[in-house]
Amino acid sequence: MKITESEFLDKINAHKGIVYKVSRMYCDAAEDREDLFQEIILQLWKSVESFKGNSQFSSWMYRVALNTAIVFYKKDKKRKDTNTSLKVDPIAPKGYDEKQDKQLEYFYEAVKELNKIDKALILLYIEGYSGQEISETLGISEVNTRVKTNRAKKQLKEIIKAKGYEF
Amino acid sequence: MNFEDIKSKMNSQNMESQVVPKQIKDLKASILPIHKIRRNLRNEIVLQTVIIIIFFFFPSFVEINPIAKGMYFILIFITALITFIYLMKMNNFLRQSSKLSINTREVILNIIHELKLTLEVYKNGIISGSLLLLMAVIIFNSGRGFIDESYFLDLISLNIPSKTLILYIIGYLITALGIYVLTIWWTNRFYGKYLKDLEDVLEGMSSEEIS
Repeated sequence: MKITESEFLDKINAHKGIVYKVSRMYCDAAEDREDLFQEIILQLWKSVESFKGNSQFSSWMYRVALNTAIVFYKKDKKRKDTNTSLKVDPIAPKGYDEKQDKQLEYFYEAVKELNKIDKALILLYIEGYSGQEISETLGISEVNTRVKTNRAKKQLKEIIKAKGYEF
Repeated sequence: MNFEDIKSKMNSQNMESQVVPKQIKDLKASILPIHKIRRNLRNEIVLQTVIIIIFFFFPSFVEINPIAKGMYFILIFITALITFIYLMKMNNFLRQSSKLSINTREVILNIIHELKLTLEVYKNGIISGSLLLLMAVIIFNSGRGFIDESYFLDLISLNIPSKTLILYIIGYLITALGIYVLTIWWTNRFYGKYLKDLEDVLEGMSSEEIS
């Protein structure tokens, strides 16, 4: 896809929710989230020529964003393990108070316990992607996608229950 | 837990104030694992280039037997050639932009493949280069100052007592083993963990297919 830098950034701005959601799913510490948020935009820019328009721009964005998070991101052990609920997220939208939204907060707390692939499966499932689309994005079979998604959902529910967050 | 509720809460977040930079160059440099690997590789390229240059110019400042000097330069030249080849390979790995538009499994497979290849070339380059460099240092040391040329020629043509020769060979093999172990440790210390993490993710993707 031929696109200028400013057109690209406008497009990303229109779909920035995707970048935010992926960063939020994979990073607990605010600094990590900030790093990943920026890295995803950079990788999207580097990869934009490969977007041929065969799929929706948002689906392509999810693919690159998730690949960036899965392949490149790893928590820095030297960095203090921060509790999200006690820290202000520098990239969280203004006017949004996570503390007030306990359900989403508990969800993200539970997601921390999942592995990288399960996080991707849950996010794509929540976003309404079909088994076939998820399978194509991650490169695993549809059967495997179904099995893994069900297992991840079950695990997530168990974690939430074990933490006493059931809702 | 209702995933529809989660979805609607995620989507209802007000994203207006979430800032996307106005220019790509405004993106903050991040410290993801791949960047640490690239930084380590880049530092090594610079360091090893400097070391080779020092070795090339060192004999200019020290009096050395012409035969020893000639042999030293031949060995250093071969070492430099080996270093150049694997530095080029490392540089290619650094420069290649990540192709993240394909599916996750292929992305991981490609990176593992590229990184393993680069590290193999790197390990072989370091080990063979170090062994040649060691030989060059021995020749340089033996040929320094005013030496008995016939003794030196006997030494390099291996015309020495068997016992001495065996001792030299054992000493060289022990040093070679040390270089090998150190290189493997160094490579695993700086690059192995990232590789292992990627392999774990890949294994996690495959395990369900078997069961």
